[in-house]
Amino acid sequence: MAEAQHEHAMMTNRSHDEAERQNNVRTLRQSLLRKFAAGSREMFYREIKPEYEKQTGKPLDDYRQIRTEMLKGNYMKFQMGFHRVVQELMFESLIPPVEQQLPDLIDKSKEIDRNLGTLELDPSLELPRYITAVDIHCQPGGYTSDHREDDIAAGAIYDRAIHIYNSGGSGMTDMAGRTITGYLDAVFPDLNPSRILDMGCTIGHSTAAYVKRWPEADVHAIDVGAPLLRYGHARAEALGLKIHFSQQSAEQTKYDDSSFDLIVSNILAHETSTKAWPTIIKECHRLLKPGGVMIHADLPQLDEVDPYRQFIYTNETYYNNEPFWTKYRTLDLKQIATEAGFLPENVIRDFSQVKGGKDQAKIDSAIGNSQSVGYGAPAGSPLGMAFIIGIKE
Amino acid sequence: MSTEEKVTLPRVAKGPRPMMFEDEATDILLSMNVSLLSELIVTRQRLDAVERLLDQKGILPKSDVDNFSPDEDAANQRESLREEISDRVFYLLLQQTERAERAVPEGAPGEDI
Repeated sequence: MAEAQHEHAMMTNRSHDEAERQNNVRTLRQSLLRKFAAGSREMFYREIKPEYEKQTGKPLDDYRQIRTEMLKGNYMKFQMGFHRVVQELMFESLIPPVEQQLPDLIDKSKEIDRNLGTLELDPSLELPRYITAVDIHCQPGGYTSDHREDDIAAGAIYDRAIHIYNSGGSGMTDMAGRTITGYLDAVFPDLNPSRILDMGCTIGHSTAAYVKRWPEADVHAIDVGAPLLRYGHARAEALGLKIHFSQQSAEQTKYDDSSFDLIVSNILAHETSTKAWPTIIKECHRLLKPGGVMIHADLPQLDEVDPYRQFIYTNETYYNNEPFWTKYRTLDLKQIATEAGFLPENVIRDFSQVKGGKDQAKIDSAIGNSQSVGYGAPAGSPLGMAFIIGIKE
Repeated sequence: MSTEEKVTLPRVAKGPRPMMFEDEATDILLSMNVSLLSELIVTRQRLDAVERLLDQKGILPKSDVDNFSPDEDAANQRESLREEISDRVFYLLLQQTERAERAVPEGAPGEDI
């Protein structure tokens, strides 16, 4: 059941109809999109795969061929077309209230500062082309565009988008962060970080989970998008969360060597590039203190899921402005980590939907469950996350 | 209240807009249908809210709505409402100019950047 989003002081107001338009997108995602996904999966296993194999005498196990076969019928075309339209309608429902309230929201973002955390922007930062080439996730204007001075529009739009996108799974929208803290509690029970870095933090909605889990820690959060960080800072202040936001690229940060006990990222990896990701992992190695831990969460790699799910996953590249999505899923993440300086025995590849804290039985069952469904899940349902973990020697 | 000028935010995402069907018209019709569905649901929810509130307060029996006839002012406002809703439903067609402006030849899907 959907949980209403927690309304904080920086939130964009909505009239009845604006709210219902947004709620409706959430409902379409979690109802129709899931039904479509279940339907096409059944169609694949019951008709398309057996028919193809009977006719050609070859197995249908290449995701590109699966795409070709699936798109011969109208069902998949309508499913993918519908998927795209729902994504567009999400922004159609989110942008007008932000546009209308923007001057007030910007004023509010300045007044709300309680000097808990900090905000540091770097107008000279060269934005990576992998972030600016297309508007990722089809968010018009992207995550880095300033439409006026002190703009926060991209962040304000994103804040409500996360809740819609996660089908209202959590009112606080910090689920992704809590998945990581839950996992760390189980696997690294002695970890007690005093300095934490969240890379690609956007508006800090996941960062909140680390602040809550380790309230004594110094929590830093970086992103390249200025409007996200301005909004994120105001949002954190409104929620009483002490976070130090800074506009930096994860490829090359301004922090000293051995600055952090814990470095995290949530679904950042697939928004980077073949060149950038290994650079980011090297930077993590430089930034970690001895014994420090990096953990990056993203969906599983292609060779970790069945061919049908490979096809479903790779759809994102084609239909949701995710240029690197598919290429990323072919990288050898363990090799990249060892080449970055992590000792092979200190690199862990793991996946889970862990929410069970320190209960090992719960974690094992969650991991088992992830495996049995092919680690992931159809669009609109909770994602099965995979981790790449490195411990600094 | 800030005195600064209103900003117009972009409404079209930079990047290719995949069309699923051989004839683009089918994609456009699909988008219209989903938008219409959304608007219909929004309207029904609003109506539901109004009817519940009026009933709760003992103000208006449902039959009064069935017999409603708008005056000139109301009729004009209802005309604008129709236009506003139609624009929303036809968003994909109406944004074609902005889409063309924001089109990018580079950064095609699947390309490693």
